[in-house]
Amino acid sequence: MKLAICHLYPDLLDLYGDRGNILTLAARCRWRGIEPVIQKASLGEDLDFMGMDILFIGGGSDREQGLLVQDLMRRENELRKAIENGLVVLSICGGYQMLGNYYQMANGERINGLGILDVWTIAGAKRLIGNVVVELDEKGSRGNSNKYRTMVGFENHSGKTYLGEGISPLGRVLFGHGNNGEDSGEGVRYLNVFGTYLHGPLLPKNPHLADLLLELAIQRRGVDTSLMELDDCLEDLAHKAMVKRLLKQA
Amino acid sequence: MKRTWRFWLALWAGKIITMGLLVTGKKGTTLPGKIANWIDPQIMRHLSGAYTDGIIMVTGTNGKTTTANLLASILRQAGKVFAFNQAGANLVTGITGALIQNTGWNGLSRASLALLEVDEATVPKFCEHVSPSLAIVTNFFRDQLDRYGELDTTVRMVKGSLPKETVLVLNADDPLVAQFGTNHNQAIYYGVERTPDSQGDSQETREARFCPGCGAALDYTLFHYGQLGIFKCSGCGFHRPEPEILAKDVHQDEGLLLFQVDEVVFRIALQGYYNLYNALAALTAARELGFKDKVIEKGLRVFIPQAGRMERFSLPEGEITLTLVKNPTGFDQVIQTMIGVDRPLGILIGINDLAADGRDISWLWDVNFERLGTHEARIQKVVCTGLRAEDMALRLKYAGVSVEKLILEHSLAGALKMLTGSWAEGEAWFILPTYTLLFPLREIVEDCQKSARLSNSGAKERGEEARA
Repeated sequence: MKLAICHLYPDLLDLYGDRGNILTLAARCRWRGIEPVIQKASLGEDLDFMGMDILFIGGGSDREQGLLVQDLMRRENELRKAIENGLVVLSICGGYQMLGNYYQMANGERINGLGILDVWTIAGAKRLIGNVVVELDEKGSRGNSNKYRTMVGFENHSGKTYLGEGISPLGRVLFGHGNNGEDSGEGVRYLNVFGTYLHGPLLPKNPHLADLLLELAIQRRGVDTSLMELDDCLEDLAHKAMVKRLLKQA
Repeated sequence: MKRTWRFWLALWAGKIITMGLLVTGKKGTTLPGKIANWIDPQIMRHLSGAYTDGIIMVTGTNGKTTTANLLASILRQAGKVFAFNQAGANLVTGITGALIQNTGWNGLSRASLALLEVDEATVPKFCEHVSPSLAIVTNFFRDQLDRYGELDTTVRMVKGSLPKETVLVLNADDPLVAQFGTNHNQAIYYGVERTPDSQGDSQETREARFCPGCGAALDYTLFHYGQLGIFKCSGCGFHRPEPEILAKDVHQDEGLLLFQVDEVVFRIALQGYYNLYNALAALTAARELGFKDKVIEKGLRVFIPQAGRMERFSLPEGEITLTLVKNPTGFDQVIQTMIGVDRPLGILIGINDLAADGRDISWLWDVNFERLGTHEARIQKVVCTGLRAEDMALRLKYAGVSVEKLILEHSLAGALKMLTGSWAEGEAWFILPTYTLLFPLREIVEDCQKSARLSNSGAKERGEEARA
């Protein structure tokens, strides 16, 4: 079996070790005998969203983000269709903001997003930086297969993101700031689209989340979904070390 | 400029604190600098006026300290007296402290020349008060983004704050640095023809995939490392400037780095081709200051690497190389150097995430550890230590290093024991810590080296027999 994983614009959006997420998805496929087919898509390249299994959109610097919102706008329809069809999307930081309705800059000017997620972002006065521990909701969990209910990572954003009615966050912040530093929510899930501020290598240390994405992608294909369990001894150690350290501080 | 009562108060307070620190056996320029700046925010401007032969500034992401030390070695060869902020005290406080140390109680400077390493994020503040006669810009890489914001901003800030009359000594091979010469009065470029590691294609993490001027893609005919190479913009025609100082015939030999500029062969006791750029930067600045090649050659040759920059230690059981790691490009270069050693490898990596290390360790995923995965057979063990030991081990697992070879050990002494406790024939050891682990680890290694020397020679011979 093959899984098509697309890393959107890695030449523009590759801040903070984003490629760690792709490496993790690919390795966890290979260890289970699934062949990952990685597409590193560049600006202007042909994209077949419907044929993809997992789409990853990372974060970039402001200038580079501006360039590609334009490029994505042209493809908005196809992307929306694929998402309604169950395409698995992981969007982080800038990628997360772009899928929302708009980004409002400090001077009040609004940059339109794709409007796929009913969220909006307002430039904040100070950057929200640091380690994060989130307690995941049902929506971010694999039900009984879950080893833990937490998600750990690092955030660094000045935009504050707010969620529309009827759309809920991925989980509740136990340590750190999250979406906006105000309502203790972090991230969002809509259909199989995941948005979060935990940038860079989110999946290596959150193997349950990586497996949730893989599971959803396989489900969409209509294949039997039971994922082979892997030896996650190191993953668990890395995850738990941070949970323990941060919650002790809190 | 008229010196006010504030100046004298700040100077004397700074000097008294410096003396106080010396008496209590501490070195330090940061505290005196901090207090002096608090009393007189203009003190750096006042003090810097005394350097009639000029102020040389060294900035950039990687290689500032090594470049400044190499240039200092040349200046000493030439018999020059100069003010110098050693030991990487490169923020406003540390720089002020160094200038205070070099100024007498009477306010007169002991030297007419200053050599100052300036942190890239401090350059705007520094140049507000001080007008450097010469500025060396080494390179720009992603480094601790959580502290500085994004790289683009840093580069723009540094570029915007350099005075028009400053002579720029620029790395021609780094597009982010080379662009500083556009529309600047006087710029001198140094560059590299090729190194044995130069390649037509690059798999590394790269900054500056796009032209800093027009945003079009940059085309490369050769990559030296990172974004350093022979480049040309596909849009506006911006290209790698022709270097006045060009290194040819670059190679390594027995821990030495050799290269030729014009007809002279230079050598430095450093490993890794990134150090070639540091030597070239120092050489270019020294030529610009009017020194002869003979003096420069000796200055570079007699240079002894400072703490934790490819520093070597001898234990009875074998040789250890200790080097600081702090960002993807630097780490990639260290990996390249380790693989180049062509021996079985024992590696100890120490990752902390305190403020001085950078709180965000995401950058570990931008390091090309996959290269270690490719040479997996050569790796005997990787000991991971530090607050983020688990993250480091996990990174290596995904890079293809087999889990059996990964050792987690949080105690530093224990980690060193795991590294040197057993070895394969001819195994080379590398210790790679982030900043706050560098000195604690170095101390332990030094102690081992000392006690090995003190123990009788018989024990040493036995050790060598065991190796043979």
